[in-house]
Amino acid sequence: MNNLKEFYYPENIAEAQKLLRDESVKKAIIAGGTSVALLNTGSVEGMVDITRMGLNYIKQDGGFVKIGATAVVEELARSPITKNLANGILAKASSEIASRPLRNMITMGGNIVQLRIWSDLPVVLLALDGQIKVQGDEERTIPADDFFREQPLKTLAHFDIVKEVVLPKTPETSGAEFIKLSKTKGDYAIMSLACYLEFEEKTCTLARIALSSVTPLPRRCKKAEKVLEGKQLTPELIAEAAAVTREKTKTISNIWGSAEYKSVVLENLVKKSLLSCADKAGIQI
Amino acid sequence: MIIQVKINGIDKEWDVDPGMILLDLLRDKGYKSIKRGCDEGYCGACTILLDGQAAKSCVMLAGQAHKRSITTVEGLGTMDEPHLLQKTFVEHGAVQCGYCIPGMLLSSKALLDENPNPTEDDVKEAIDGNLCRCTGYVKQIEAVLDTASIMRGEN
Amino acid sequence: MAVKIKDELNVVGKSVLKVDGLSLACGKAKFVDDYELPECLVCKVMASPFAHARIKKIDKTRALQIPGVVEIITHEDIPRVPHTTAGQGYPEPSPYDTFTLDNKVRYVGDRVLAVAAETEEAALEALRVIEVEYEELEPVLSARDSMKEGAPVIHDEPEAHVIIPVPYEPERNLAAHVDFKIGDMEKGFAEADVVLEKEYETQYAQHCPMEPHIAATWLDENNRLVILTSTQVPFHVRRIVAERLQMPIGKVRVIKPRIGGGFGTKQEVLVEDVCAFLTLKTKRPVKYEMTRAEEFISSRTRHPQILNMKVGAKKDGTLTAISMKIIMNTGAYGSHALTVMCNSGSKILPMYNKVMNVDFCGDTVYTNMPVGGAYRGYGATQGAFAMEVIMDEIARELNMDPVEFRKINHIRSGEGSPVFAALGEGKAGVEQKIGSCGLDRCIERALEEFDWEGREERRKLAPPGKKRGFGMCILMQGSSIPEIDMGAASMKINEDGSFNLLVGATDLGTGSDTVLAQVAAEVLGISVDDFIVYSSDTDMTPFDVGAYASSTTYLSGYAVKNCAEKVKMQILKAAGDMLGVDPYDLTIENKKVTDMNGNSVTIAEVARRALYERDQHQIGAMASHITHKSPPPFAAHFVEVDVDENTGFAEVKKYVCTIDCGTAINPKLAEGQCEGAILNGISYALTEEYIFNKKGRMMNADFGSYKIFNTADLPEMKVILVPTYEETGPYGAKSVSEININGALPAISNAIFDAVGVRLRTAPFTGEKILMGMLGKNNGDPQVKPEEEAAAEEVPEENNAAEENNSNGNGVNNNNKNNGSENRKDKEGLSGEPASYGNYPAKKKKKR
Repeated sequence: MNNLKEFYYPENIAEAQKLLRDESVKKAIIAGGTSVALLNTGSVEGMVDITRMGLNYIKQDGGFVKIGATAVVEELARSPITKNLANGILAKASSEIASRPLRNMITMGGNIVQLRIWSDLPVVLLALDGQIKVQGDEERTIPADDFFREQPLKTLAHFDIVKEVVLPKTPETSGAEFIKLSKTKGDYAIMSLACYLEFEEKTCTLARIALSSVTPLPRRCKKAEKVLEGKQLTPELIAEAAAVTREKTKTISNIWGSAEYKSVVLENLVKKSLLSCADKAGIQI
Repeated sequence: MIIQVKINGIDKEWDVDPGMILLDLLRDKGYKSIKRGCDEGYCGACTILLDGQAAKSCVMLAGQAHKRSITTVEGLGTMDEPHLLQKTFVEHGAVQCGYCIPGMLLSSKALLDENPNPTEDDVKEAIDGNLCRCTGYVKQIEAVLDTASIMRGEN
Repeated sequence: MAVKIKDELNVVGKSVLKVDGLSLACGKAKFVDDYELPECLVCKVMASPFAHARIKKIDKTRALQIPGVVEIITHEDIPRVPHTTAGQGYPEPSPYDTFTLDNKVRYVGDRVLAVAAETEEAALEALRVIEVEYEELEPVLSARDSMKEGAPVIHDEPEAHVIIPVPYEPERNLAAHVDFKIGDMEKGFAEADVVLEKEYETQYAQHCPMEPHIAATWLDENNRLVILTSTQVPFHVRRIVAERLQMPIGKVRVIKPRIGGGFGTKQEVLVEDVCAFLTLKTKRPVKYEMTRAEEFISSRTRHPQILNMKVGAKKDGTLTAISMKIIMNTGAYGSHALTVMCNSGSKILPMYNKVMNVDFCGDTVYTNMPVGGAYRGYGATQGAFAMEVIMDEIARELNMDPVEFRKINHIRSGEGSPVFAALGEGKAGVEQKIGSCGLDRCIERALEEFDWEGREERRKLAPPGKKRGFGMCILMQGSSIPEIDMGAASMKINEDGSFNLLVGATDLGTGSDTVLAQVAAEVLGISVDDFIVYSSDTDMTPFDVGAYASSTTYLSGYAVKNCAEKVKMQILKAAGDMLGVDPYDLTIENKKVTDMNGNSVTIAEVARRALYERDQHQIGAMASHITHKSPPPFAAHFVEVDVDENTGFAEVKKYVCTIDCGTAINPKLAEGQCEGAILNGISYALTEEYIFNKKGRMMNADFGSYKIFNTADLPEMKVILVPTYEETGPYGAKSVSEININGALPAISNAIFDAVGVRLRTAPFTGEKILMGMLGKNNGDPQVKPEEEAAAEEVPEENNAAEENNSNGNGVNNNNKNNGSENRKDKEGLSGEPASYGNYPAKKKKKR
């Protein structure tokens, strides 16, 4: 069903890039492989398996949590490091992806490099101000906001390798929430959203509202964030932010639900998650 | 290309087309306990253990298995000497048509290998990738919990 | 009633281990695809891309040049034999409207041609390059459209016909019709204090056996055709394939190995004919395995129904009249078109047998949509939804507890119903009085287990953001098709006292091999381990209609009992000779035969004597059974549901099922049947549905977008067997496998209403429907979808969220947009005089 003739197992990034730069044989990268196996790989003849390069780490490094690109989402779901970061929303989002055997295969990098129906992690990266480290000719660090501006695969060079995701540790006075709405547990998201609020005293100093599946690409609703920032939050203000999110988001109808339904639910769930963020930050509203 | 796998404890070298779906390869090699239910990674009938972790062989390419260890139900136990999980599954009436059972047994084994004291929720989570249309899962969950308690020496 | 004391029985009523359990758990038991067939070709079938089209031309030239492509068959290469795929006994009540391959395609997914190739790749490549020229015809994509004057005719071929005398009018897309009236409806409704008329709608669904349809065929050393197939009906497969290929039945052998689930879809004879035809052409083994997408689109489904219910009741809760009008969509072919629709009445109406005014009218219509078929519940699922929800609605109108209301009205032991005689399967039914009925006890037991009384307290315990509700329903089904179905078994003894038990009954994962061995073991005083059970091989096992209509335990079980009793007599006779006593003074127990003085011989000794020593003969027998009743099992289902106020999602928290299946021959296996049926029912009620695009193509033909529940979705589930003794069943047994799939739709709908006041009469009960209802945008009635919104847009192949979103601007999967005028307009067509074709627009002229 495909034209694959060779698999390569580089032991480090340099070796992988060398293989990818050699274009005598058309090559592609494979990590977890769950989507590769389903897709027609066309004229690709060589697969560069990047799962054996030591990129499967989850570690703390100063004020940051660093996640190797080939860390599998099951590990993200269980690691004490991710569980303790930002109310554990990355762990929560990871635990709700697909089913156990697939979570053992799906990687961090795979979930964010191709934005597909199953990409639940980008909203978390957007909400937590994540950065993506890519090794090209040289190493570059791309903020999540920029990384997801279009399909990452379209902007990455064929020899680029996504190495690592970096998430800053969040302060005590912050709260984060992730909610995925799906027909059944482990199903594709009808919508997924991640919110993050930071406070000084009782004032909300930073708000991020990120959503996915209801829009063509995962994105933040900055207009709604602005409603909250610099203010002491009230139920009315949170309701307003939720309403603005709904207003600014053109939802689409598909087999998972109508646009109208998704708009209603979006508003409800943004409200719910903002309240939850505030609660987790210890802010009474 | 040649791939090396350790399957059910035995080292094998196979000359294969590396783009072949792993499920097809393993069934061709005679590991018929691995079933095909959807070919799309959803149903879990094709579940194997890859380096001890449950994985779906219908969404893996043969090349990905190189230098890894694979366990199938053929390697779990035999009819003369079944694995405790196989025995309890039968005793609890957890096997109806049996098509999903090899995959479910392997998911259960992966769970018990790392967590000898699972809760009901742990079991549900561990076998959430194995669809079964016959049973309603009740008896399988009971069987896994019972196996765990027997393994702990509790009954 | 007489409940036999358990202690009398040694094997029946015990949860003995499933005879094939360990082999299955060790991955040793063989399913069709596990057999290695040398030189086997791969068969792939081309599916129609159009809902309705005529095939003008097929060009195979390029495909035949592909290395590895061996044979391509089209309608031009195969005899044109009208038949039904329904897999029923002869004469089938389903219309003969299907051809193995035809010059017309009638739904997206219909068969166009078949290829046999050395490899799957070559076969798929052939499908890619074969050029088919179609003339597109206007499709009919809803049951109501199909009934309109001037609607395109789906079966315009002259051969389509029925082989039993029932109404059939393909020229107006009518595949089946039944009606009957008892009493005086006008009077009944006039006597009522409350009359409710509501419409309900059920959706397409698939059985989803984990093993898709698969068959392998080859010619044996005597040039006979062997069909190894995943089927519920090996004997019907043999008859039907022989007929289609125009060869003698004696030239065909059908073998059923282990089956990876069926639930009705494997009653259909769908893959065997093309496969066999390719074998006859190529003289080589051929295997055809459906892909999961084919299983969804091109195999069989649960027939969608629109049910119009009108019920009258007095203030005291007495029912005065029930009218049930059904429009059933059978899709492109009329598989089970008549009988599923009949069952929606015959397994539902007798529950409320006190009503003397009953009106039933059903029309099954063709559309250019996926084909309905037998599916666990078999029409009762659809009927129970409508009936048990309207009973809840009427109880609420009367301010009565729904349980109390049912207690007043439900059928009881010793009672009959005129509906039993009025509605059969393709002919009039068989009158019967209910023998065993444990429904009262089922209700009481469920009330207690569920703590129905304490529900108001539990309602307050709903988590924040959720509303909790409680619902219930009562159910009945049947056991076998009386005076139509036949089962048989044969048995022979071996030297060591073991027995071969050969049954035509088909274990498709249900455990029937075990249950049948238990019946035989009980008769012969031996254990299940003493049996080598074999099912099924048409060359070896005696005839049995197969595994359907909840018949195996009740019908085939009795055949096995008859057979074992014959064998028992032979053993007693031989043992009597050996012990020098009258056979009638002997007892058989613990693998030996004992006389009144305590002298005994073992069964093994009897066997050795009979086979080698004296008066040699083969101890063995064959016996069969038919039934004159179809005793219903009864059940009560209670459910607790939490509805999320933000999303509308309903989550089942607790599900209690009490079931009277007579004697449970193997309680553990019986529970397993119940649990599986319940979860399938819940999954159907909450998520399972077919979503079509504007051209009639199913858009969610995979487990990623057609969701069946996994362990993560599992509610707390409790099944309680409430024993009764059915005099006509083997050791008091009735059926158990189908009934419990019928409860989730009504019970959950009732619970959702109880939680949030939204009455859902259209399944499935998605978060969207519930939330829109909570917002006042869905009054619960089935919504006629406005034409331009009748379908969801295609999801691009790669499921890319971004691209999908861009291309789906106007895609719709929305049953909730209320379009009152459309809705009313369409309903008017239904309120015409229910003459012979009561559901058709009234002006259409009656014709038979």
